[in-house]
Amino acid sequence: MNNCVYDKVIIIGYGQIVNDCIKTLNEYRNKYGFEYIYIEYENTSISNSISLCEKEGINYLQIGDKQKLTEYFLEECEKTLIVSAGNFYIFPGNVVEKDNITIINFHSALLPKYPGRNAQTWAIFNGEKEAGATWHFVTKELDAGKYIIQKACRITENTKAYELTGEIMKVAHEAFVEIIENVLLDKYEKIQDLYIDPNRKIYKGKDIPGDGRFNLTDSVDYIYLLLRATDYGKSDIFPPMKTVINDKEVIISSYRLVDKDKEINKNENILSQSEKITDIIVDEKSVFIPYNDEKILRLRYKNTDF
Amino acid sequence: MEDRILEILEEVNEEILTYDGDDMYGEGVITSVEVLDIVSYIEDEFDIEIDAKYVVSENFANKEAIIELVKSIIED
Repeated sequence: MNNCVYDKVIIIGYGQIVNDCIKTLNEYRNKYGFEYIYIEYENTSISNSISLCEKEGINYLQIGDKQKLTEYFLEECEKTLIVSAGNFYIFPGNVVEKDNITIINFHSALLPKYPGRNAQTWAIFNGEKEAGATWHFVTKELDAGKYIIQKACRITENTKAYELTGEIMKVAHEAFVEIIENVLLDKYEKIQDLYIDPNRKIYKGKDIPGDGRFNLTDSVDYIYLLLRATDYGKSDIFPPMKTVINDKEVIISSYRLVDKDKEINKNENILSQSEKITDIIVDEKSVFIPYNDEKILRLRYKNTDF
Repeated sequence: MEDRILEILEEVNEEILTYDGDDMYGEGVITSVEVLDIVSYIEDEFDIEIDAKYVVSENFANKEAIIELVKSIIED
């Protein structure tokens, strides 16, 4: 008979992926009877994992302090599986190396590519055609433990960072459903058998594509790529992109690839003379950049000194 | 204005128009990506800025809440 090797399962993270994994793990709690806790370390305005736990009758803790969370894990003495999904707490070596703790983590890239932060951004910015999710065992080295499963998703010529995040979350959960029972039954090899370059680039949160700015003389493809790669909607993962218009530094407040004919109709006063727009047109709050025969890249901007 | 908002909502996810509960996000009718799409389309359509503090599940509870949010921002 197959038996779950863990007395306790802790899940930590935020966002859709953690909610999906919370529900999936709950089914296995009913099957195997382990103690089950969700930990909220970071939350966002639209986070609803706590209310999900309340609804499903799952115990939860809110620990927002890194040191306290580390102490919590260090005090753990039961045989414990930690599932890290959409989680920004980096497990320190003394937690990772505890004999009674096994940690699996979801990383939003097809490792070994793009270890570290904001992997989606770098995948888009570097022109990758696909990105994906990797579930792996956690070791002391960041995003370097043995891979359990990887699933890919497409990056199109219009994919934005937040859209790719959503796609990766979907495939990450599909992958989790495929592996979790075998993880609980300890059926996966935990020793990494791939060579991990100790000098590989690890992307940091402070790394910003294009150093956070572009010139209007850059190619429209590059400008659009840069804006898409750093677009996480309302999340301030990156500061707004900057450029210079009429000798003043401005921030880009929004961008959109729009239909040329419709835009000309909407902005007759600005674009009426430009049925075949071939040059960049700037008005007091927008920039219109020709993209192709049918489309214009429209940027809205604000002065930085407002 | 309401008609245009409803068109945007339909474009993002047509289930929003028929949903009659009060926790569209919590019940999984819309995803966080769709919330961001709605924000982006509405900002663009009405030339407004929806501050991150308004992007909370209560303001995306159903189509009426979204319309109310946009109205209150425009009137401010």
